Amino acid sequence: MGDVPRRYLLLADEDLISLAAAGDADAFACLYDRHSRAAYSLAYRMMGERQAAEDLVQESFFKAWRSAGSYRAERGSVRNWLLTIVHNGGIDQLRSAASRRRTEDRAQAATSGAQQSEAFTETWQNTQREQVREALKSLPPEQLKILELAYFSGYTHTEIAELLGLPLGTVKGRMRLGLKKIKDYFDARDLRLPQ
Amino acid sequence: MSGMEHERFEELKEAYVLGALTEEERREFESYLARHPEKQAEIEELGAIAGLLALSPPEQEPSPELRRRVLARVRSETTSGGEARNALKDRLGWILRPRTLAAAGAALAVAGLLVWNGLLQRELGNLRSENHNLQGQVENLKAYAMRSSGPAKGASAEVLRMRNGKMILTASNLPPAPDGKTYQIWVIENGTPKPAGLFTPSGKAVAVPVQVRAKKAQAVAVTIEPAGGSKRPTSSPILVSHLSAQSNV
Repeated sequence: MGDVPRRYLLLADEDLISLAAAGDADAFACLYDRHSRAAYSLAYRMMGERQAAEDLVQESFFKAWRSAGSYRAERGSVRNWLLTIVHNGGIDQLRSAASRRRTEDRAQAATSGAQQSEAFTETWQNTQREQVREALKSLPPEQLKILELAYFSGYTHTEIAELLGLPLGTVKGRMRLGLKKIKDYFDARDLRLPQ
Repeated sequence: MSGMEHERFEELKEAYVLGALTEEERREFESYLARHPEKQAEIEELGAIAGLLALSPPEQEPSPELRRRVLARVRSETTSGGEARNALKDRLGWILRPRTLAAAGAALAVAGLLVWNGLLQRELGNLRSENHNLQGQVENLKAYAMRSSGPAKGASAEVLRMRNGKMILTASNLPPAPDGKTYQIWVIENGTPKPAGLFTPSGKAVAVPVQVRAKKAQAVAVTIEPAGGSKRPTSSPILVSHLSAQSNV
């Protein structure tokens, strides 16, 4: 990280993405340093192994670099924008793969490699992660399973219904209830949704 | 899904934000959305909830080699100093100039220290010795700029830390906290945010003592919290300073 000029560390993500959109690679490097861990963690969860996760992160950040000008702050934070790029790329790759492992396999492979960071931002994001994990724990297992199959494994709702032997309407209903329950978790505690 | 009715939209929106529609369904859903922009906000809110799943996986550390590869590829595309880039840098120049931050911080530091100095004089009644003390404080003072974002965008803030661990937070151009809310300071030590005081800016500049003295503090942050403060932060930080970073002074 030593190659990022110190002055960039003072800028907000929105400023950095504006500079990146204008071709500033140092600003983009700073964004990478702030968000690569979250991006890689998501990629690893989706792809299930290091090389595929690294390829996904590399392609996603390169896409972010090329489309930095399309970022709109009113649509959400830079982190969410980057994670959406990783997520969409992951879904595409999973769906194009000739064979894919079940989510359970990947979940088992995704052992925790967490390292305590000294950076406040990481600490803060860890707090947010804990809140999100707590929210997910509050879901009934059958709702959580469907959300995870959809979000992390790239299955369509129709495929999930076939996979689990459930009517399509039940899958849609569990998706609806699962997302609502997550929102209710934050609302009930007067917590703002992590940005 | 052509000519999709409202009911169909309602039926598919969760699958859409989870990325669980087929390609054809997704295109048709987005076509409907384009024709009904009033639905956009609802989908964005639902998408934000689904997006929380991205934060749930166990953390994994990307390799330094991945960073090198990504940035090498990015830098290989960087044009040789484009005009747009320079124009934007000019616009952001005031932020990027360390001197701007240092000057603002120094002015606030002086204001804060004058207050401190007055207190010391009253307590000890010896102006000369206290000025000497103050000189010593200044020499031992470290100032750390705070990164601002969200509602604090446009504000300048610094954390001034003495060798004995005492800290003062100075800020200028912070907007008033929303009704029923307050600014709350947090000190991060051993990875845990500790509440370190509430404040409400009145006027353009504010200097607030940080109520936790932590020699091993990793960072100081400010969030907007419900009136009376919170035990744990409930919103994203709008001011952050990493105390491990190099001091400005």
